[in-house]
Amino acid sequence: MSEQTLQNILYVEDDADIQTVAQMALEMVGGFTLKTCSSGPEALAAAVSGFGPDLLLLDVMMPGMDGPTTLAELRRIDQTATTPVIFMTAKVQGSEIDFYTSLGAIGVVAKPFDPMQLADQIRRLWERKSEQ
Amino acid sequence: MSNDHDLEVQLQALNAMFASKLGGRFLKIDEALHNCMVDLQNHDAMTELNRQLHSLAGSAGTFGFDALGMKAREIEGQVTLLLGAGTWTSQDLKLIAADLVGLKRLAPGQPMTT
Repeated sequence: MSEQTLQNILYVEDDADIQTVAQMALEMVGGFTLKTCSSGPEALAAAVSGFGPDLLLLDVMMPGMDGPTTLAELRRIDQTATTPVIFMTAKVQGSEIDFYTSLGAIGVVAKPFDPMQLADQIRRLWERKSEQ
Repeated sequence: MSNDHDLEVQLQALNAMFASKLGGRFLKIDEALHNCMVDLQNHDAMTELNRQLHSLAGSAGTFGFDALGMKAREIEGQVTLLLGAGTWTSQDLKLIAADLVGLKRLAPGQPMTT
């Protein structure tokens, strides 16, 4: 059982408005430290440069490199090879969640989300992982 | 708790900012649809239309505009079906254009741009 605490999050989201509100919610309410990226390649560059997050928080549908592809590439980098991942997406039908789980996701945050609840949602998914 | 209050205050400002930028989002949607209408084979334009609708559908509800987000999701679904089929007609695009008129009516304080 992992007792690792959740502090540093690598957050990847291409929508600037969503990025702003999520970052604000996670930092102000959750007290987390975020490295926010607007694309998969930007996230890869952050990981290569040495940023070692406790958690990956990935949007699914992004132009160019989508969330699952970004995850696959992050898995090839030592810093993020085994980092737990949560996807944020509007696509939350059963088969879609099964797909994210098959990629190793510890959970999914559905869009749209309530900014006031986002940090708690993330923390619950993290704690549920630790209990498994 | 004060952080919660601070966040609520800032969220109100962000909601207002999101609303003020809806016109720009609609312009991008209209531009993508226009490009689809000019060239029915333009799959890139249809993909861009889908992306813009997906972005609006995923964000509007977060900023308190639930009905707008749900309508965007509904239209995104129609566009996704057309993309999946790989082909569409001008009549399909006219139906989407009509739905976009309804979408814009759900935006607060937006001038009608039809």
